[in-house]
Amino acid sequence: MTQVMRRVAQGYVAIVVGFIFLPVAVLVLFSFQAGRLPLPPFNGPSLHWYGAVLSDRGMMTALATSLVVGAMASAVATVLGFLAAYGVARHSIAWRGGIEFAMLVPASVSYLIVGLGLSVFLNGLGIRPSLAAVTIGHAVVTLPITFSLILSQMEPAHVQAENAARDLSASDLEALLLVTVPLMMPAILAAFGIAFSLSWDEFIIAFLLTRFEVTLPVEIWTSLRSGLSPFINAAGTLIFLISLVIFLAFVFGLRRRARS
Amino acid sequence: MTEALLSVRALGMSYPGHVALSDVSLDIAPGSYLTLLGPSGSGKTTLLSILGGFTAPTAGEVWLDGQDVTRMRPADRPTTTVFQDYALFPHMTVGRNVGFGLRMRRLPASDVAAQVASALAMVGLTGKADSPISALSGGQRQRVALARALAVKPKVLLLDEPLGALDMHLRQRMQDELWRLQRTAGAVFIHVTHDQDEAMNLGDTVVVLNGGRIEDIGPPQRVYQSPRTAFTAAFMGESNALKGRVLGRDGGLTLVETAIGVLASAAPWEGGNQVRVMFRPEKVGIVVPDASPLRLRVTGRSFQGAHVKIWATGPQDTEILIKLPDAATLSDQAEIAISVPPDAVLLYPPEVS
Repeated sequence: MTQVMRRVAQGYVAIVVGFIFLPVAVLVLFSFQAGRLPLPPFNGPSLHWYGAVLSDRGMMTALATSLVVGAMASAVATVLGFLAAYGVARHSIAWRGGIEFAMLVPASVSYLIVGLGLSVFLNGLGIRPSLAAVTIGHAVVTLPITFSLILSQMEPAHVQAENAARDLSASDLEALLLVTVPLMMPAILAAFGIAFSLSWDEFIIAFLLTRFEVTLPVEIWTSLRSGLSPFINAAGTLIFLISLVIFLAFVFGLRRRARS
Repeated sequence: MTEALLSVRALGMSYPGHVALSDVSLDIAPGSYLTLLGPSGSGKTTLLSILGGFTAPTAGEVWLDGQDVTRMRPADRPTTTVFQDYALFPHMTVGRNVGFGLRMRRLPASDVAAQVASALAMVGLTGKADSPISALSGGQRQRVALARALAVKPKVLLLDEPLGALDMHLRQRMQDELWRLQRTAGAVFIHVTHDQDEAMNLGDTVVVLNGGRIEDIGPPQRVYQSPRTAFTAAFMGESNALKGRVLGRDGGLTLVETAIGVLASAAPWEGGNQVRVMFRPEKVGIVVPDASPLRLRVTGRSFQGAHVKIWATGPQDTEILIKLPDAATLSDQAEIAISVPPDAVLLYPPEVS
């Protein structure tokens, strides 16, 4: 009986994993398609479409743009999130609950609303749709995540270490930079990584706030309009690969820090 | 009397609905080793935190070396603190930890290196400068915390239950070492503890705190042998406490009637008729039956190494604790006669119930 239950459980896990990864596997498979359509029968493998993607100027520009926007937006969100979390954690302020709530609310607002709101607001300020606008948008939507992640990792022991630093004549800024930031580095790096990966494949805000320079997801969407092609599969596979590399780098980086 | 290095005047600390300290005054001479003793919640840690500058008092002043430091930030005070959990910087090496205060004072790198080396030598950690904190044992971390706080040559070193996290064997060794360090460093050490043996062993002055007030202050021997209050008597080691009624005075002695019989006390007594009588178990002597009218029956014994604890019962089931160096001749249920020397019989106002 338990043997049967085990088999059922294993089968269930296999189905779930398949459900999650099969679309990705199909996407990757047909990126190696030799023909013009990403549909069965598979007649590859061929690296033709990878060559096409890597020599496509629009794609390569969008890739660089996405990296820059991601890095800038995550840096802004991480710094602001850290400072907000630090302020909330260290001071017994009135309305702490209210402030935390206000910080977290944007996470529950749909990206469409945030994008539209920012579009109208920035337009009113005379700021045209641009990469700066997308960067602001991505910083806004990732801030609740960086804030809450960093806040969750603030420990009372860090307060004592900061007190020790001040006791030994460190200024407030020195205590922050020489003691608190290094102690919080794992959380700060994790927050940056998550913010980056969210910005990396965010579409709606990027679509609403850009015009001529676009990020990678918007570029892919644009080329989708000219119909299905293994070209898009190859671009998607490359994005997936880059995300995976960044994700693994952070996971292993954090593991190593935790061990030392 | 030498002028006080550190002077605490009518210090008070109240939180909404809670008074942590009230009317605490202290004068501490240069070179003192002061221990602050009290149960948890007695205000000893609050007092240390005010002295270190981490908490601003709601009343009173702190003067250090002729200067009012009551509102001075920890960074500007000539005090350093050894925190209860050491608060070491885990991302720095031992040497970087110890040199932190020197670097913050903008000393040249060569001076920092020399002073770190001498601070590490002082705590017996020579050669450990490049070790990460994670490679150290609890006792070694304690030493790093001490070296870090002493490296900047503070006038006053504040220690918040510094030995609380160590096992008993290590704690005893560190006590000797703290005592030696204080002599070497020449700084005033103020050491918070809840362990009365530690307080008496280390302090040349013991301050007993209870409920935010000073119950007693003085050399350990005086505080132990003739505590000023019943609380101190009960807190500083074991004690027998009996209700008593003053019968009158006979020569220099006060005669008090208790459940086990009449006791003579050398303590001057000016109060009312009702008293609380206290005496230490090790002051009780066993005498030949005819020599004393205080008769008890042995009900239990416990071997404690250096001495033997004996529980004995008198009239009205009054239990008396006795400590003797050797009790080989006493068997269970034995009838004994005891005597307590008058200068060991302490008198306090009766308990308010």
